[in-house]
Amino acid sequence: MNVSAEHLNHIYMPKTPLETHALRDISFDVPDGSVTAVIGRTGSGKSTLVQHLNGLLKPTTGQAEVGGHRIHPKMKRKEITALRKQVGMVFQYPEHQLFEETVEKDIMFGPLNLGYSREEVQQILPDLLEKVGLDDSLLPRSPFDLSGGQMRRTAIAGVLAMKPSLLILDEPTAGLDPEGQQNMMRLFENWHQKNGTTIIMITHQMEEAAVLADNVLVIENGMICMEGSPEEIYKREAELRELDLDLPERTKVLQRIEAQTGITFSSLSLSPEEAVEEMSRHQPGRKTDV
Amino acid sequence: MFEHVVVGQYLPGHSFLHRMDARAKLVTVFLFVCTVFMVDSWFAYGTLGSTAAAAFIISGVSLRYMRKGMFPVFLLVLFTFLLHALFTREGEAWISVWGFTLYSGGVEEGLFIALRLLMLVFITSLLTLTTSPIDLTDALEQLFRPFQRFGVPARDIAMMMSIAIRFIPTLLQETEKIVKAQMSRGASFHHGSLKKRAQAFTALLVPLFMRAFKRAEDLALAMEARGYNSGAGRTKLRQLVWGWRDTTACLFTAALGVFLIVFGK
Repeated sequence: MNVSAEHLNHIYMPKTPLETHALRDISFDVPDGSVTAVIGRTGSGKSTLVQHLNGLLKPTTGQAEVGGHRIHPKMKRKEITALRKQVGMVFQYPEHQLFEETVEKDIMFGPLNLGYSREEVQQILPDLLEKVGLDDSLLPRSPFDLSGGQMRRTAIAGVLAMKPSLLILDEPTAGLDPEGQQNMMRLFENWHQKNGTTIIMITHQMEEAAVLADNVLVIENGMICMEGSPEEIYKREAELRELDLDLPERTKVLQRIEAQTGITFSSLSLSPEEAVEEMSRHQPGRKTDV
Repeated sequence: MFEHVVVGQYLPGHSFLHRMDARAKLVTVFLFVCTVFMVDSWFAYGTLGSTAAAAFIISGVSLRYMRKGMFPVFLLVLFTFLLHALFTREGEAWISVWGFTLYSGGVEEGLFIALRLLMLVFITSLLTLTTSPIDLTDALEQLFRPFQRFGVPARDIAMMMSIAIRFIPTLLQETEKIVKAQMSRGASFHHGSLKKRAQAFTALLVPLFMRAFKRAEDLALAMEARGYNSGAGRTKLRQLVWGWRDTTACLFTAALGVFLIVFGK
């Protein structure tokens, strides 16, 4: 699903002493089926931006377009409802949204609201559970009895069950341990590959952006200040530092190897395996282990 | 989403009212409210009204802000006015429509009650708009301290109040977040059948309560871990200081009250 914005502005509490200009003249284009990472400091406007794409916020001026749906300042309720059927949103700490008596009911809440029948949802349920990594013995349990990780998976299953064509993730790995973070990213990566869902993901972690994203938008002070592939962004190290953003670990390591050995890698977001491959091509005969 | 909530909102500033001691402001408001309840003449209401208006001008709070905060109360005031105007049978009858007769005494009494309510809300709004909640609870604690002898747990009350006030914005934020999350799952809070809306509210209230209890537990644990003991006398980072402004304001209000009660007939 194509997503774009044109001169989008958002002002919180206009004409009060607490007026804040949260987004300034935002324009971007996200092609169908791509993964875009939105990066920026706390308070830079990332969350405000993505909430427009779901009709939770209306722009003060300007517009955005998601699929065929136009998001504009005078949007009607019907338009918003139609838009929400296409856009799934996973908020920060999504486990806070659980409320039903059983895991099954909670997962069904979204799809039933959107007009899917109970049978339809039940049909996709086993496959969905497998993808998010939940056992079906959990279905009749109360979501509040689950572990933190299971709760988050339940909440995410509740969003994925709506079969969104655009998936918005607001720091989906916040508060998880490193292994949990990796598992979570793998979940979304697999979902993306199987279903071709367009993903827009807010993240603090460059690492995640490097692994998954085709495009990176760096936001500062409500404006897009960098835009491009992760490759291009990582080359502008000095600017990133200025924004308190760090390069991903793997990029740092690859840069270091480049500096010390004179090898030039084809990309600075290679996986360790790929990097070894390229290095051994440069120095035939010397096979390095990872 | 909750941008319009003005109740209990503090607007920082440097006016005479902002710089007054919170205790003095509480005393002044208390005296003012007592006076409002004890007088019932046009002259007295005119004087009190202009005093309140003068205080408002001194405070530097914008009229738009005040109007927005007072709006919900206007409906209540209007309702009380109509109730009194229609059901009081005093003075001469003016007009009669559908079995209701409008008496001059009724209209007068309705106006009095409406003015009373308006002034109460106005002056207390002014208090919360110009006093930070923390100062307010500190002041309450100190004013209630003499009653501790009679078993009033002034410190505990003050602590409970400051915790409650502290968590209002947090809970509002939490509510906003959950509302948004459930809305993006297709819940509709403002439209749709009663059943659907009730379901949407369950989807809001259950997580909200879960989180609030969790927070309360965490807070209690943190307080205990740091050795909180309600009997211990705590010192304050920011001391309340009584100055000339405070004495002046209290004396002025007291004098005004006495004058109006005695001579305002």
